[in-house]
Amino acid sequence: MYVATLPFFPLEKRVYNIEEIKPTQQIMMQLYPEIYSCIGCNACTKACTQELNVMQYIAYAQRGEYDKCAEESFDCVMCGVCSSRCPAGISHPQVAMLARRLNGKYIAPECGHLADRVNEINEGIFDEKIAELMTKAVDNLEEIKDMYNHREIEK
Amino acid sequence: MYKIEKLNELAKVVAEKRAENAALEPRRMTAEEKDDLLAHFHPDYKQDEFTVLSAGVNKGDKVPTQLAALLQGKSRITAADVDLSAPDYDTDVLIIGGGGAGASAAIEADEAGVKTMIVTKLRIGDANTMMAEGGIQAADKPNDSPAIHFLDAFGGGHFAAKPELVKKLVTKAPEAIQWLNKLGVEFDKEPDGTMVTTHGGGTSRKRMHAAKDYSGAEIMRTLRDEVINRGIPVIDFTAAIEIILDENGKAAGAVLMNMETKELLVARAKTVIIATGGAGRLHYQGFPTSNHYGATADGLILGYRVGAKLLYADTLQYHPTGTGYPEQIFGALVTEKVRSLGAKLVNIDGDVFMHPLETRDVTAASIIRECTARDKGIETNLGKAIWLDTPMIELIHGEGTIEKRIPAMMRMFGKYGIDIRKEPILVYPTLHYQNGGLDITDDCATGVENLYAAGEVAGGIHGRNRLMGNSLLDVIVFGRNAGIYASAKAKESSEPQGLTLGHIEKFNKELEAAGVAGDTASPMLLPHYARKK
Repeated sequence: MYVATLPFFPLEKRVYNIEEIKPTQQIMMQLYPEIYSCIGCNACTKACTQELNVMQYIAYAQRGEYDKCAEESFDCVMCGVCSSRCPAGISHPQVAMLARRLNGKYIAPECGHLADRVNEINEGIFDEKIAELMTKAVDNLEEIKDMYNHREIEK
Repeated sequence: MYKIEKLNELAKVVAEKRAENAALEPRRMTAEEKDDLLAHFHPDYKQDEFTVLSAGVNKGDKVPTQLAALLQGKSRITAADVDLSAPDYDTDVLIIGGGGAGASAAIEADEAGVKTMIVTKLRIGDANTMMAEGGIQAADKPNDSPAIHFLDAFGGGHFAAKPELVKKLVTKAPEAIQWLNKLGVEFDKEPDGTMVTTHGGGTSRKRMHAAKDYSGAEIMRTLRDEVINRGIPVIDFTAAIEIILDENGKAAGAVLMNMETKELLVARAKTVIIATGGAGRLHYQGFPTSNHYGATADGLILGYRVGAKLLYADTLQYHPTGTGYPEQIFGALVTEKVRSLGAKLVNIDGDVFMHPLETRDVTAASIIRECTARDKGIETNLGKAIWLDTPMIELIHGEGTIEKRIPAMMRMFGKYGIDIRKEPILVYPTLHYQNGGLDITDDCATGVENLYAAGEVAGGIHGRNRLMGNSLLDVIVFGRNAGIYASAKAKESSEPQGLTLGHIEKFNKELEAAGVAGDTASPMLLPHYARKK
């Protein structure tokens, strides 16, 4: 054992399985119930090193509006200064982290072209073309240099 | 407003020509012009800044002088200092480094069901991944393909990359984005889910995915959250200072040192992944750096001492747009995304002197030429710099674009009274990335059995120059890859026997025989910025 200064403000991080939880209002109540003890003093917002509206994003989290919470908290660097000021003991950065993960995984629109491309790669559609480049990269550097120098560049 | 009045006056010259410059589509350089520019102005070509190694597996190869001193430096311990028979930690996969690659490797190893542990000399997430801004590449749009991405990356790296590594990088890229997205990483998307993508220097398709200009932070904080959720042990403020081998010369763990108490600890493992990142804090050639405080090439030293080979350790990336002014953020990164969004590089006369999206090495060399041979740089108290005309972005894309797309940049300069929406900023190349590193095969294996490497510490993926957005991609693709292969290998391996640190004495003898034995304690662990007396 040894004694040392804490190099950062300790935040309460609750653990969960991102595959099993759902973006409902209940999940915030279960994992971070202390956000409902917010007394609205706004000390978090005043303390924020990134000038975010911290109290506002906690309000969104209370209401289960995770997309808004994610957007409002996006620039958070998780320094914890907000939490060091909070009389209710809220770990704001961790609440926002959960909201952003819920938003990124479950709420934000799914990307169709990404899923298509992953499938195409798994089906081997690009194998031949890549193999051709690999061969050139080893045996025919001049040709691949020429291809590179004259490739079409999207405007 | 700039505190130096002269700069405000010079900024007016830029403003006067802004409309004209914004409409301009500058010519791209020919292959010959680029080669000539690099040979004369890129720092990698300054022969007297390099030293030829006299010992170890890369004997005869040149590396930056500061790196040579560490590679041929003195171990922090002798074999007698630790008792290898009673390990403090016992695990299947030991991961050294808590950045993007280390965290990705840990998640995959944990997923594979093996006992996994991360050690980091700082804290998990205190890494260059966290500081990455611009974005991550993946060829997932209909007009793009992994083959086109291959050509961009391979050509951008001057045809020096290992083809099998480039193949892995580009073909696993869309899956990497999908994996991150499923972990909850947010990407900039259109309302219908289409990814918002832009160009990076040297890309031929718009395939730069981003999370505003906090792309790395968004990825790293999510990975960190996932590592904690999974209960993977993270031993922080604890540095690995030597790799331990077993009786057959296979990697079998590491000697760890508590950064505060200097207590030595032993971690035994069936496989070891080095994911310690880069070397910006060695300040090669006196350049400032965009890197975090832990970027001191530790992994290269750890690997090199036990016989892992280095590849392209002589090629570094100087990011063209480090902050040139003010002093408080000198060298800090100005993301390439600023140029992706349309800002151009402008000299003291207000003239655009190059296409803003040439590859990074070419752009950096061009800025250095503008400030030296052509003498068209802007003088500040910190040396010469070049304008990056940020207000052009709002001229092209409309008001509000900067706040929406590059809020971190706006904030960084705003703190010093510079409004990047209205005033151009000053930039100069900053030491950014280690293009080379430990030589790996496409399963992330180094030449030493059971020793793996992933992320910036590994070499060969980017050849002699890396494109924007291929590093965040690299740490995810190869971090996961290392986790998958190292855990599979751990599953088929039995407990390591006959642990030894014999390599320390052996390497010392080699250094002595070569006449290069020095006193530099290595790995460095933290840069020396404190006043010396």
